[in-house]
Amino acid sequence: MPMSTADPQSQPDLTQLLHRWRDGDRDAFDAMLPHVYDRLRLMARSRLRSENEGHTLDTVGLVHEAYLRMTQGANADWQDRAHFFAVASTAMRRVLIDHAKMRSAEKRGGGLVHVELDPERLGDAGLAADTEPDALLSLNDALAKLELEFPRHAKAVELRYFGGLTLEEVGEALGISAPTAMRDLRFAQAWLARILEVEK
Amino acid sequence: MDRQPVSQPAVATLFGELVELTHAERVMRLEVLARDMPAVARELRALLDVDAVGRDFFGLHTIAPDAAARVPLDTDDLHDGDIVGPYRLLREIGRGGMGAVWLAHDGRLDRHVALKFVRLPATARTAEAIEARRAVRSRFLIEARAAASIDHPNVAGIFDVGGGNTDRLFIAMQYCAGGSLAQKLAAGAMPATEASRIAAEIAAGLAAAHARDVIHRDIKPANVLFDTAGAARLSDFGIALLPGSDITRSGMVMGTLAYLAPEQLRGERADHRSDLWALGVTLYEMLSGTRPFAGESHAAVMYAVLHAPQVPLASLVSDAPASLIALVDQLLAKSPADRPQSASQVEAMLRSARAATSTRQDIDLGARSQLSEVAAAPVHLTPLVGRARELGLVRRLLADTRLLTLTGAGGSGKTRLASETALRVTGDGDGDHLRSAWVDLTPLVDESLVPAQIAAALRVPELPGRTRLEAVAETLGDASLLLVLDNCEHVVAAAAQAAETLLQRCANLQILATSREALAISGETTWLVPAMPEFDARELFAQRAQSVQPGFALTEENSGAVDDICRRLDGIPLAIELAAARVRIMTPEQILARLDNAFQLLTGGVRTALPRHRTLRGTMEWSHELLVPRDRVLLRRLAVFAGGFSMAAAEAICADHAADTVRVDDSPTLLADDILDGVSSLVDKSLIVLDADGVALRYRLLETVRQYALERLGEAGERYAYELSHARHFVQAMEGVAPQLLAGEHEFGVMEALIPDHDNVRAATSWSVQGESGDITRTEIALRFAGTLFWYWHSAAGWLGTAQYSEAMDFVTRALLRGADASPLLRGNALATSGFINLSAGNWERSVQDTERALELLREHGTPENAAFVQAALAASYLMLGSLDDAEAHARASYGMARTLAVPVLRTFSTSWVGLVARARGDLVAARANQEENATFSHQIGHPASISHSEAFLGSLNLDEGRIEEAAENFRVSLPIHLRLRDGWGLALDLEGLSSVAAGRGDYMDAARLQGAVDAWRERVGLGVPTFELPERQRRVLHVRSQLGDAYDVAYAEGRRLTPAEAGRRVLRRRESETFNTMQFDPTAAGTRGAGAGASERRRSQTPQTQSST
Repeated sequence: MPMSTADPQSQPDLTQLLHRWRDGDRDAFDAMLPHVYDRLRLMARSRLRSENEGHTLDTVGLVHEAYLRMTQGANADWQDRAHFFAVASTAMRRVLIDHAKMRSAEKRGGGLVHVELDPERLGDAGLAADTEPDALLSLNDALAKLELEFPRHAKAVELRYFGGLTLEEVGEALGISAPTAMRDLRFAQAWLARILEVEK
Repeated sequence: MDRQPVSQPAVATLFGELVELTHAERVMRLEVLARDMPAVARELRALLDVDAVGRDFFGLHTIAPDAAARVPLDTDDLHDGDIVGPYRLLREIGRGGMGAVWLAHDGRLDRHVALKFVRLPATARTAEAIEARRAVRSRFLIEARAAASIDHPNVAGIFDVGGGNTDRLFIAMQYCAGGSLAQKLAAGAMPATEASRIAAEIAAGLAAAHARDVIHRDIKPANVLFDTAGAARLSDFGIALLPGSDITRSGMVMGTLAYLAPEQLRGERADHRSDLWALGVTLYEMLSGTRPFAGESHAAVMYAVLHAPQVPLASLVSDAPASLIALVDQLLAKSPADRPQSASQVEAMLRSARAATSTRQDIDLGARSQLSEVAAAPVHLTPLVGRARELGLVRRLLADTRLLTLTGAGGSGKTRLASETALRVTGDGDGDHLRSAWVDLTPLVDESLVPAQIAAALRVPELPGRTRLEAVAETLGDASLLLVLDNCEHVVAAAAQAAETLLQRCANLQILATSREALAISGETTWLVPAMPEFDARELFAQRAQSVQPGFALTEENSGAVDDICRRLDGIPLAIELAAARVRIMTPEQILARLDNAFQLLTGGVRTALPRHRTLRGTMEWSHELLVPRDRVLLRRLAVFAGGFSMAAAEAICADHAADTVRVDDSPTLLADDILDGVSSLVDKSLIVLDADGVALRYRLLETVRQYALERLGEAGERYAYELSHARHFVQAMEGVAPQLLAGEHEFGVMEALIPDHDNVRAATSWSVQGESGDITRTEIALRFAGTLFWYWHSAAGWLGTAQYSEAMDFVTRALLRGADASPLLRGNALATSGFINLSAGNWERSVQDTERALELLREHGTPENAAFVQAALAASYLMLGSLDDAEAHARASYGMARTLAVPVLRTFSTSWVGLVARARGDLVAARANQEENATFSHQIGHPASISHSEAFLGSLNLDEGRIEEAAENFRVSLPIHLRLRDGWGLALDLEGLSSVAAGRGDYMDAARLQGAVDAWRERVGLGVPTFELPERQRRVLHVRSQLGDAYDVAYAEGRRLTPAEAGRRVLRRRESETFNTMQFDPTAAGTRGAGAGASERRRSQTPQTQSST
């Protein structure tokens, strides 16, 4: 899906798009994404620039804030929110990966190297802006692999890890129950960890 | 987006199912799968293994549902060398209901930690339940964070939590090498001093937690740990017992149940008072060795906690002061509102109870050696700030030397360090050896008294043919003891000599001395107590400041000034306290400025450092200058007190009206009403300290302050007037209380209230025989003291552990000398005392002489009661001498008078001598009639000493008639009373009697032991054997010897080392398990008496079994 930079001025009514998406219109998702992405990217960039290196980038907070701004306080219900976050988490992932690529490139002068994923660093929602960029990139690659075989599980990871959704919200976004979402994540975790170890 | 669940490849679905099964089920299913879908099974196994390692990328906090099965209580899948997070396991050090505790090493910080594995309660295996456990888990984290936020010396530090996604949470905490209280308690009950020390530390830790709104919820011996300094530390805050957890589950070990407060069992909201309950249970257990609420099943325990009263602690414990027992009862109030409301309050109460225990030298402690009753180190109400390093250093130094002298200027905290060291040493005594003894050399002016002071503190009597030091050395032998000599500087040569002698003669003796200068003997290690390090000094300042000004806090702004103050004051603790006390009216900056000014004056404007010994002086003067005039007056007058004072005494003595003197012109009036305010004010300024005493609140000037105040008193020309006021007050007080002490305390508790002022009485009596001989006022007071103090001294002998007779005799003699021209009444009373003293000491002839003269004088000039008493004493003296006719005449005369007078104890007193004379004459029938009458009457009036003496005499009579077991019953009544009264004479009577009982039963070894015990006892308290007893004694000894041969000497020697209580116990106990309770006798239960049957009935009704069923 191309990430075009949409003109922030030409804001379609996000809530409408959300509704359409919820009702099954896939195109609505595609239409929303660039806007959300742009917004998030701007917000993230300004955060990262203005704070010192090493400051924690509160991804969840950012997404919340983006949501508020973009729906402009319009009366969107919970399910809208969950769906918005679903979009936002994909966007968030993009933002972070782009940022990580940049930092990794800065460090090495180009070329990516896989490093062992350290679970200690990736445990919490709210990634540190200085999370070892290579680790993040490895995770991203592994996640891409997961997507190929187990799309729903990979999506769950995206929602949870990059978007910070609760299990209920993950479930809502994916159309499954919260306990199932938990099981999905657990599976994904084991699968990813194994992949990353194998590739070490 | 698809709204239908995407169909998953088999692996993912199966994984989801398998991961929630129990281990066993999972294995089974995998086996089945392996047959049908081997590739999938392989994949699954690999994934499940990865899952089990326990990562938590996504904050899932999942827990394997069968955590309980996989991490059973014995946690047998943990092994030495396992790595858990950053820690390497070394060995298992404990096990609780929650999981195992391991000693581990943290490679990053290179230190040891204790890893406490926390096993969360097992629940059902559904995903919903897992989510619920996730909630519990995060609450646990919150709780752990709260506990980790408490930084206090009595709380075990928490460093880390981990085990994220696994079924094994752990907490990494401070490793406490001293083990747990539960381990200590396995050896049984501990002495009250130690129990209250530990409990006070627990209370201090609780106070710190409660101040942060953290409730522990799980106080019990297993959660009280001891660090390397021996201090108690609380661990495992409320982890198992978060609100909402089901505490009646069978996984809950009963051991925890026994400590839960009623409101916790009922599932109600637990608050800090629930912690106090648990402290009460723990303290009960420490003191008695048993739990207050026990049962065979959960239900039984719960019932007991909720509804049943505990077995009264008083019936199980004999060495705890009443205030401590009362505190435990309060803590165990079923309703939280009835308990003490704050942990700090409880801490304060515990510290004062502890002091009461240690100043109360119990005669019947379980210790084996004669050194069981030595003076203990003073206990301080204020917590020791900092100095942890210094304490550690002192201990290390003590490990390498036999004589350690702490040197340093006044106020540098030497004494405090010494007492804290001594207290800690006593704390971990193993019960067979006493560990420390405290000798306060402060009050000594005359160097030659040093040996006597040491001997008195160690309760070593004068032994014939030896100097006091030799006696001490002999008694100490090779006992393992830390002897503290506090404040040697003014008697340094004598102290040095004493130290040298004792160290040479006593192989396992160690001495810790405090002094401004070294003792300078070989083998001495000196250590200059350093100024408080900056951090500690600042902490001390802050603490002191906070106690006068609760809002005070160290801030960025003021900490610089505070540090400067501490530096300026050379880190001298007392000086810092004096300065800190001023924060109510000045900021630290202002204090600093004023100190600077004051010191400039002292050094004549040169700002270089004041010599250290002048710093404290300078601070004291500065503090004194800041006092309002009224407080200055009060402070100097308080210098007349020795050993502290009560508020009532201060009001009586220091107020203006009390002294007849020309007042120095511009000093303000000081009325009795002002004194309370004044004392409070001086306490606030750290010039007066609160003293720990079990009965009442007392105050004291620190020695340095007292010396300063005394100077001021002299300068103001008030010294004589107020020393007179002091002496007058105490002589009046003693005269007032004399009737209650006649022939022994009329009620338990009278002596307890008086003993704290013993030093004051001593000071007053000494004062009264000093100065010019023409000073009639003083002389009169001296004679009055002499006339009234006999029964006080008689009782005090037991309280203070040695007879006061030589000191008393000295005093009375001097008083009589000075008062040769005084009134006949005064002289008569003083002579009577002299007679009594000699009677008690075994100088029968002197006794007769003095008492005859006293009688002459008192017949004419005294009251009939006085005369009658003295006459009875005369009868006693003649009896002791063996002059039976004279004895009888006087006894009958006294008896005759007593029946007409309204003094009940006089009647019992005189009656007993009549009976004893009859017995000495061999008229057993008359003697028995007489003693029976006496016993009945004694029980009616409820006078303890009368009861015990009459029972003991009846016991002797029964022995005469061969009624061994009846005699035993008599002594069974009299011995506890004598122990309680600390009646040396009575105990000797009992022990002699019990020796005969043993002989009569054929227990010859015990008879010999008892003989040894009583002989040692007589020597110790300075009692002679009455002449009329001698034949019986000799007969018995011969008989027993003939039965035992050489074994006699062995048993005798053994017996010499027993305390009277132990000796008595040997003969009197019915069964091995019976507790011999010194508190059984209740003198207020007036009514029918009965030696033998009656008495034992009364006793039976007080055994623990019946009490607990009420």
